[in-house]
Amino acid sequence: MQKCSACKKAVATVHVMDLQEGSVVSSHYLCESCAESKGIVHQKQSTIQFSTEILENLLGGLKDSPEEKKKGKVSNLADSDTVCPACRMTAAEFKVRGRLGCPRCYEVFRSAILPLLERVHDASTHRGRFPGRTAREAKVPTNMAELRRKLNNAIEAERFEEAAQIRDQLRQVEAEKTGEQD
Amino acid sequence: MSASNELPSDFQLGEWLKGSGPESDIAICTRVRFARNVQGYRFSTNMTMEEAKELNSYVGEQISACSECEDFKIVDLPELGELERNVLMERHLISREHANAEKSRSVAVDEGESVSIMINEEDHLRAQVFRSGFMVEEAYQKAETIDEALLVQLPLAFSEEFGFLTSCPTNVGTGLRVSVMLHLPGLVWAEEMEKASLTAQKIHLAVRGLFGEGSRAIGDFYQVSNQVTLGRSEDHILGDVASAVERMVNWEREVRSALLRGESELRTIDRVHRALGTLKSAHILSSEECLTCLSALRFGSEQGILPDLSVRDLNTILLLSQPAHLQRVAKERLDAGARDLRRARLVREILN
Repeated sequence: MQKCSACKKAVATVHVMDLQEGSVVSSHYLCESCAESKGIVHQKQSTIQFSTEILENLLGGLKDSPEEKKKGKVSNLADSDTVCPACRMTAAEFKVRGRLGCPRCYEVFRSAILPLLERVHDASTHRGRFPGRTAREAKVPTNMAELRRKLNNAIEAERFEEAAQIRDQLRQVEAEKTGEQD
Repeated sequence: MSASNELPSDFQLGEWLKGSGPESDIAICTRVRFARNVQGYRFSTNMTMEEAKELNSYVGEQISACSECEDFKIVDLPELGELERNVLMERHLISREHANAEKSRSVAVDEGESVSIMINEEDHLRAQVFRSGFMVEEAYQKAETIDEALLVQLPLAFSEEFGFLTSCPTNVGTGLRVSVMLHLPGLVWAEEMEKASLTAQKIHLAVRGLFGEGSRAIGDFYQVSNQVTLGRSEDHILGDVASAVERMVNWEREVRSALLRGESELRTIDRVHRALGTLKSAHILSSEECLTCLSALRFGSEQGILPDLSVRDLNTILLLSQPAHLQRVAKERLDAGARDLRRARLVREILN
């Protein structure tokens, strides 16, 4: 049986071939754990984490596995004594449940919520629709900023054809906007 | 409240199983949902039984009065039996949590089962729109129209800073979840699924099983959905999900054609026919085996290996072979063993 060429102990289960122009230039046999430590194969255990799980980890909720506990969490979750005047929820309770008590809690626990939002959403401010407006209407200013950024990127990368297209889109959006104001 | 406990007809397949729409050979169904809460109430996760009751009937009344929800039936869930609630769950009209909760709660459903609004789930309202096939834009437009109409009836909790406020901070902002249910037997058989999930996760999308969060991927069905709801516009979120879905659909197509070329071809055809043999002949059929075989049959039907098999029949089996539907048709409680016999019989009858 082929032994692992790295640790020379375990049975090799991974065959790595380096190819250059279609022909094999070198070949190694590795065991699963050496291949893993070299980053050649991924750990079997899926690393997928859903946002609710991320949240639970951050909050130090009840579902933590010992492994996740090692990773460390945001422990400075405001003052545990803070109480929401509208629903009587406490910061400590929020920490356990991972759910806020009422709309007002977002103001009351704002300083604790902000870093959480950053971790979960990579953002802390709403950029979507407002009530009474459609997504199309909400989008215009954001979209223009985004288009300008894309335009600059395209120019910097000398992708001129793409840049021309973005410029046309920008003009169109600007025209629509002026049209609406008229 | 114009409550009615009459359920939509059993043998209607519902929007998600129509089998029509763009890319419907792989993208089974698109779902768009909004999480919304009413000002002046605690969130549903933090309510007393009394408050839950009051909110449930208030929201129900307002939905009945809503211009976009005229033909909706409002079903009070505690009044239904457990079995009937599970039927709604298997039809994807309510979540498992909504089916099993203790508090006062209901669901508003339209006639074609293309819209359902859960009342008093984790949020006061969870409105979802289904479209058969890959129809992200269309499903969103419908959901937005309903949302706007609900806003006329209900003062919804919104802040300029955080957007629509939800019980769990993971849904705040747009409160929007866009998900597309994909049938990916090619990626599963070719053992590419894990890679595909990780690719999606890198761009902050989640890949989940048939019944969403926490459910296993059974029958090679996967849901691709956005995780991030804050700091991005609705269009941005729709675009992210749509482009990931396009990539996965193309990837699946490539793998499928590879599975039907060269040495793999005979093995793939064999696999499909074996599945057909099992479903046509089995007398005891577990839910898991049934779904695994159905997946191979769907693949066979879409790829022209089993040209006489209709996707409609497969979707009928998919729906009716679930535990609550089996018991509802049998009109009696069946334990797991009895369900396996009943399931085998149902499948044989449809396929032979």
